[in-house]
Amino acid sequence: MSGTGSQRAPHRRNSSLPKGRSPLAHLLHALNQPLTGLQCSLELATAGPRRTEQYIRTLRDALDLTGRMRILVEAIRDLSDGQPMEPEEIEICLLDDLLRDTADGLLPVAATRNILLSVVGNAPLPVRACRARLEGLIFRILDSALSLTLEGTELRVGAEAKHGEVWVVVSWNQGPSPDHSPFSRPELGLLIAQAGWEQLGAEWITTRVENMQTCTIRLPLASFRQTHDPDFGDLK
Amino acid sequence: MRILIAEDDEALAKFVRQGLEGEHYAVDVFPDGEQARTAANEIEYDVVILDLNLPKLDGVSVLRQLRVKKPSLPVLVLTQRTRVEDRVQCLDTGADDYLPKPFSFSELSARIRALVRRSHLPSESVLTVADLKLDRVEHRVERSGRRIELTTKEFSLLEYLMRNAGRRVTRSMIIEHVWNLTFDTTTNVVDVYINYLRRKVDDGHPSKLIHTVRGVGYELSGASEPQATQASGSEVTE
Repeated sequence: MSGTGSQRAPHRRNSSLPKGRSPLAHLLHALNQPLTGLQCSLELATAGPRRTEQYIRTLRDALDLTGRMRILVEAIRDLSDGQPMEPEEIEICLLDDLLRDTADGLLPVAATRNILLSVVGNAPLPVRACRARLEGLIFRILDSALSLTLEGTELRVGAEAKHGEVWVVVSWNQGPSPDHSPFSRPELGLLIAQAGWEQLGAEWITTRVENMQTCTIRLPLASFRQTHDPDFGDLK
Repeated sequence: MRILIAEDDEALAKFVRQGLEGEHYAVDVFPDGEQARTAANEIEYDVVILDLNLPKLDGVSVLRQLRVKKPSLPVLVLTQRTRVEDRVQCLDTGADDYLPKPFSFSELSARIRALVRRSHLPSESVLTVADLKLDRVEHRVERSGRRIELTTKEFSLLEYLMRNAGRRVTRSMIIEHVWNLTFDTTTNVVDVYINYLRRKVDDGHPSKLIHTVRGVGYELSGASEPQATQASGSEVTE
């Protein structure tokens, strides 16, 4: 497991966003910025005759602003569409296997940026969840964290059972701020991942010590009886 | 090639129509479900683009009724929702593909091409493009008679590209069909896997099969000049 949480006093919070406002409200507020830019640029373009190059520049700017709005709208939709799992969707899944499979699939991507992607921890870690949703959430957090990791450093995933819970600790050295931070695609990806994990009943804690970012996810471990009782579904 | 668009947003329908007509499709637009259903039953369309939120008769009802009379007509559903469950419900109802709003025109166009292509293809166990062969049953790939070892993900990616040979596929389409995810990734995972595949499939062969369609995605084609380039004028690079 990563021991980053025990260095210096960490800055601990449950979200990467400022306090006092829901993620949805924060994103809606963020949408105003590119929308205003788009409105103004189009108004100026139609205010009077311009040279062809100026129209082309305005259209390119508009396309860029639309791209930013699209990323925000997708994030808003992902957050607002989130719903609790239906009982019939729930099965027992081995979280450690899913973490390893997903990390293995991202190894070639990590290699292109000289990032060491490692998964450490004990097994098995059975949890009750919708498998497809869990796979998506694991991919989302690792994919986003990998995008944010400083080149040439390590992205470490720890997974272990503690006090009847599964603890997943994802930690990385934060690279330079991406364009349009804090509303870049990887940062929004983490936010959506947080909302998704919380819907699974997990607690999500973000800590930061200097440049080391850590996301800790704690969710209930499925009991031994659950993993072997047919009434609780098959062990996947 | 004739396309029916059932979309009640006038501005969106107009833009989509203009774009598709620019690609030489004949396009009919209907603003409500009843008109769309009647037209789809009376006229021979090649593809139907169906918004789910339609007045008079909703898209799901149109789709259900259409499936009874025209089970093989390719239908692409446009929707506001992206949850896995919504997608599954949509495909279960009989949609062939599913595109959430907001979308880009190039994404829509690529999906229509893939749908048209798929509807004319028999389900083959061995896919062949030029001297490249992929056996879906034996999980075996060879080029010019030489076996190529692929990981599971590389195999799925190559299979998807070969099923859509001669058509450009976007990164979103690849992520959705090969990785089974409904959101865009933040890493360049698709590009990295394409590069791995390229090394295994194309290196050492004078004729390259995997092409990059700049700004769109990729295309696997045995032709020296990929078809997508000719159709749309998109820039293609090796």
